[in-house]
Parts: sequence; C-alpha cells; structure tokens
Amino acid sequence: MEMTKEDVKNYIEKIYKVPVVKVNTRIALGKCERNELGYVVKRDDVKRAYVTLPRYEKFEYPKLFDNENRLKEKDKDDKSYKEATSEHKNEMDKLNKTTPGYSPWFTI
Amino acid sequence: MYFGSVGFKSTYPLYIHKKKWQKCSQALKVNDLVLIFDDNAKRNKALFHTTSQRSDLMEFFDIEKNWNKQKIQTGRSWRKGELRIKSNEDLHKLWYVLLKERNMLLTMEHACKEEYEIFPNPERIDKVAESMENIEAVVRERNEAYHLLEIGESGERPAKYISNVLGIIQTYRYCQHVIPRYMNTSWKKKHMFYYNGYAVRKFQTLYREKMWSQRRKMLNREKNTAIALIKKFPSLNIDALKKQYPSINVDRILASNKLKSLRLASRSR
Repeated sequence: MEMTKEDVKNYIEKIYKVPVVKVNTRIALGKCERNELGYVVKRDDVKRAYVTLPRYEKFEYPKLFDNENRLKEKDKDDKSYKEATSEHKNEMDKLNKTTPGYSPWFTI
Repeated sequence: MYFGSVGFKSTYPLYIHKKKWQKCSQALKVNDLVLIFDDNAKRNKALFHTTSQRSDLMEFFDIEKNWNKQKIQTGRSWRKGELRIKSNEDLHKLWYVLLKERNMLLTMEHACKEEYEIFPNPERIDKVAESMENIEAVVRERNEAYHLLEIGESGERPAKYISNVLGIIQTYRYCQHVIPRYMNTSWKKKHMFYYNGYAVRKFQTLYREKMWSQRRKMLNREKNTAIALIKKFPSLNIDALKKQYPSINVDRILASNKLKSLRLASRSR
C-alpha cells in the first residue's frame, strides 16, 4: 500500500531492468467474509499496479501448469512410495496368511 | 563461494588454479585455499559455475525445470555468522538476490492458488524471510558499531517512556515532523502524554487490582505446587525448589501447617 506509481516504476526499471512507459494504480477493496465463528471479517486492502511496457518489449504469461507433466511427476512420487512400503506390506501379508487377525508380535 | 539462484555478475572470472595452488601451498606450507585471479579463465570454465543473469520479467517466475514438480529441494537460510564475514557490497547484492527470490516465490504461490494446485515447499518463503531478517540485523549491528565509534551514540531511532491517556507506561519512538509540535494540532490530538480525571483514576485502581489479583493467583498456584511436590517427594532438594520458584518463601512453606504431618519443619531451622 505504501508504494506509489513512481516507486513501482523505479522498482521494475532498476531491479528487473525492464523499461516502463506508464503505471496505473488502484486500491482493491478487501473482501468481507464470515469466519468460522460467524463474525464478519474484512480482508486487507491491496494496491494493484497496471504497468504498460514499451512496444518492443514482449511478455507472454507462461503456461505454468502442464497437466501431462504434472501427472507424470505424481506417478513418479507414487511409485517411489509404493516401492518403499512394499516390503512391509509383503511381510504383513505373509503374517496374515499364517496367523490372520493377530498382531505381528504375537506370532513366532 | 556461494552464489544465489539468480546470481550476480562477477567482475573477474574466479577459480582455483590447481597447479598454482599446489606450488603456493608447498612454498608457503599453508593449507589455506589460495584463490588466483586470471584473465585466461575461459579455458577452464567448467571449474566455476554461475547461473546466467536473466534480466527480464520472467524473473518473476521459477525456472522452467521446476514448474511441474511436486517437491523442490532447497538449502537452509543464511545464518548471521555467515553474513558477518561478508562485505557490505556482498550483503547489498545478496539482499537483491533474496528480494527477487521472494517476489518469484510469491508469484508462484499466487499462480498455484489460482489454479487450485498445491504450492511445492512453501517453507522456502520463510527461509528467504529469515535470511533477509538476518541481513538486516547484521547491517544494523555494523551501523550501530560505526555510530558508537564515530559519534558515541547508537544510530538507532531515539525513544522514551511516556504515560498515555490511561496512565499506562509505553515507549514512544521519535520521528521527524514537517510542522513544529506546538502548531501540529492533529498530532497533538493523537498523542496525549498526560492523564487526569476521575474516570482515569478509577480505571487505574481497577487495573492495578486486576494485575495484583493475577499475581496473587500465580503466587498461590506456585505455593501449592511446591507443597504438593514436597508431599510427593519428601527428600526433595530444597535449594533446587528455591531456584525454581524464586518468588515464594520456601522456608515459610516448610513450616506451614499443611506439611505438619511430614515433620519437615525441622529442616528449615
């Protein structure tokens, strides 16, 4: 909330080295919500800055979430988890065959 | 040598020249690392790595490699001891590296929130915040030391104890004003360092009563726990008990009627 238009301009130009044509700002009202106790709670107001870049500067918002790759990563994690737990599971299965319904310390 | 994930331009390529280092260490018989600046470092580029500097709006996003990952492993945050060794210039650079990192993490967190995805390893934000805090602390230390040496005062913002409208003591930190104090009516209305009137006096008595009752209850609780401890463990170390509860009179407890059955009263004499 403390940053002015000039501040935003300097921030982007000096730290990120991206030229800026103009900056518009507005203060977005924080939403009123009811919390778990039923009281009305207001979220903080937020200042939003709209920055115009020069014509030669190009920026496209990247596609951050690629479902296929994401699922692959998830499968990898699941596989490693299964591998880690499979040994214990096999032992438990063996015990269940010989002495079903008893905890492992009970068997010899 | 460590460089942050974003990295900064080193003016000279810096690396450890193996042969030269061996020669030096033999001649000087020192095991310390000898760093050699060399202009012809391009040949041995693989010895020293820096991440290329991206000066773009894409700096607000993570590296493309990390986009779809469930887990992103990172190191710990910077400690004060490590930062104390660094020069002011290095700290200044590191501050901006961390600032960019923080912006990147916050952007990624927001993007994840919008897509209803889980943000991987959110503790990274805390790590960055901690290291930034540490940098600030180290810089403050240096500033204070410099001021004490040169001026004889710590360069901290001056403050004093004042009593507010309700007669409660507070710290007030001074700040600069454009309008002088006697003319600044809006400031005067907000900052009243005096109190009077019947209502305030009544409030103060009630407040003091409340504080005392809290303290009394605390003392009673401590006394009762001490008695219970002595009852449960008759061969208790009394000195340790005194250390544990400094605000109560242990000798008086030992002589009290509650411990009559244990006949421990003789201990205190």
